[in-house]
Amino acid sequence: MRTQLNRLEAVFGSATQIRNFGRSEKFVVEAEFVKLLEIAVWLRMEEHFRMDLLEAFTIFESKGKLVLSYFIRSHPHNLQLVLRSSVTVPGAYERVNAPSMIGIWPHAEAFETELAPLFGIEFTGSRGTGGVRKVFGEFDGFPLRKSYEWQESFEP
Amino acid sequence: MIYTQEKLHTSVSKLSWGPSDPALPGIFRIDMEAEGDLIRRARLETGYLHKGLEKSAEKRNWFTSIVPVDRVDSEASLAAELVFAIAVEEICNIQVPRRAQTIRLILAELDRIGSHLGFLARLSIVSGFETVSHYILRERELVLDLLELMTGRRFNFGFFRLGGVAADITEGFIERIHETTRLIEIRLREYHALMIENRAFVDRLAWQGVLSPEVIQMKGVTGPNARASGVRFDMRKVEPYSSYEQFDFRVPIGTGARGTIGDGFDRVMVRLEEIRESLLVLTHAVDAVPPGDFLAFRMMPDFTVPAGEAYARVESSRGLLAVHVVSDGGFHPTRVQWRTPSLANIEAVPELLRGVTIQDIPVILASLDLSISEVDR
Amino acid sequence: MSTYLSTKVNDLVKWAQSSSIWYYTVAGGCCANEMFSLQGCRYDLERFGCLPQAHPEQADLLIVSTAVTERMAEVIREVYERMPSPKYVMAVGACANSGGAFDTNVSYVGARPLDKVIPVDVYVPGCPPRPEAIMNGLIRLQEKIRANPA
Repeated sequence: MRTQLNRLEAVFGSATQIRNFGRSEKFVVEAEFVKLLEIAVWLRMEEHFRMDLLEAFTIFESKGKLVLSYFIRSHPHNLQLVLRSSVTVPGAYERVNAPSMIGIWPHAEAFETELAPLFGIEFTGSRGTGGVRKVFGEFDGFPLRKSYEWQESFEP
Repeated sequence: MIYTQEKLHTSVSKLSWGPSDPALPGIFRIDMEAEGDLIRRARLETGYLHKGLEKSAEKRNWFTSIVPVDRVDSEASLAAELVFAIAVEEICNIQVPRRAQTIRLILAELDRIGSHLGFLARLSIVSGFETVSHYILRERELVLDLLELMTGRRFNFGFFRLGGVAADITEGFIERIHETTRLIEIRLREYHALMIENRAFVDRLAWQGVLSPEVIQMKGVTGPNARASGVRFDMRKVEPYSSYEQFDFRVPIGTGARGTIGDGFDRVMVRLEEIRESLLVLTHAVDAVPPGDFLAFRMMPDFTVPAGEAYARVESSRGLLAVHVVSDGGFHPTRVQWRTPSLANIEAVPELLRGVTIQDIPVILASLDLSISEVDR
Repeated sequence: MSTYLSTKVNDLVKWAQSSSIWYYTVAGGCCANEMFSLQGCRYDLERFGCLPQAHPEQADLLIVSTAVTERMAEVIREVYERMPSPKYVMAVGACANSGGAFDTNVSYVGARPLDKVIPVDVYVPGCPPRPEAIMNGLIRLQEKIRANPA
């Protein structure tokens, strides 16, 4: 796996950083946010990777940054990898623009439609099928961000 | 098709079904364009049951964060408890005693049997065989009794702790497992006669809602639904966790016995076979519970988890269940995000509903075993 | 004499109402499993005359067992308005009773007690309540209907 990832470093150089994911033996590729889409396409198409399955797409907020993690898997080569990128959290009512991965991994639609309203992220670039819409209600801001506050007592 | 379009003089009509209807597997809405009773295009609208579950984990401390974990999918909640425990144990670097691992495995398999029996009962009600559902619910109660004997609850157990389980094996539990597994194995033959040999049941499900491998790959469908279409992917085999590597079991896949591979009938068959395999694992596992501790350490309410993250995956009764847990070293989780099987499986529904008749919708949806509380969270 | 007759007729109507409670459930998540167990042979709600209905128009009792968020409140209110009078409501589980595990102090969806949305006759606590508890709730409702002076 590490030798494979050297190819990635050779192509993208300083735009990526490779480290271990938590305590596990998995690797996480930390990509610069502007290069995220390019690296994802490369991982999907390069014949030594062929990352054809997006298993999960998660976002968390830590130290003023929104961290996007794509847990991807390669069926032909039996590889697992985490692709990660982070972007600074803007103001409470401002949305972030992030590249949509639906064109690369169609399964991303399930996660993007869910995370877009809750984290205030606009996924741009490709349109999904719109088969399953998710309407979670009206919120004053974006509820999954750390800065979100709500009324703790309900008035009828 | 008996009626052609010319005879009926139909045009495209827009219909909306739901959100609250007992024929649907949960609370969501289907907006469809139908020509006569053939569906041309279907869209789903979910989000009614959104409870803010992931945020509510961040608001709780590590000690009580098991509460929202159980409610991700309460019918198969032990799978969620298991994956959460595995993830947090990976961050804290806690070794789970072998005995606790086997107890977890036993309970997870019991939970899988209970969930599959619930699926069969729901499906038989929707497809018009209410009598069959009473037989199946009878056995589901036996499984719930066993879970209650061990954990003290029927659903939402809160039983798996960090580093083990909350209690040791109850006296008489192992004998009752043997008794119940023998009984359910006999009853499975009954179901075979009631469902598989039943011409009316087979006709209702064969050739219905065929899930092709392309859709499975594109939408990320996992679990028995994917295995019914011939995709042999089971996390218990791919990456064994909680001492699954010690037990030998088969991963059944769809064969297209009555219709074609990946139809609704195959999905029933795969689950029936899985119940049989789980019974086999259970009978082996209860005899092979190793001696030792059932809990590595006792967790206190002021417990903190070191900064770090983990991503754990298990095979729940509906498919691949994964969780990404992030900690910043404090009393609260920074983020607990779930990748639930139904979240992906429901994406395949608009594809499946294209071209079927309206009266087949409940059966096709029931054969997918969707849990809407998993989708919305 | 006429008072006597009308009292007796009233009693008869109340007896009939209380022993044929047909219900419609708005269930999501945990309590849906227990509502399903109740239809099974061990608990068998039908021996109390309780029959699940597919349409709110045919039901006397609305059983709500889900977190009542902003969006669900609309659904529940609509279902309640479609039911014919006399109608009764049972709140099953901690979520419907008070917000439970998704109360406003932990969750942002604004889960409210069901009685802030529609009038509630019987509350069944538990998360999820045992089937026996839900059956007890139904028996209490029958008692309530019989004791009703109207």
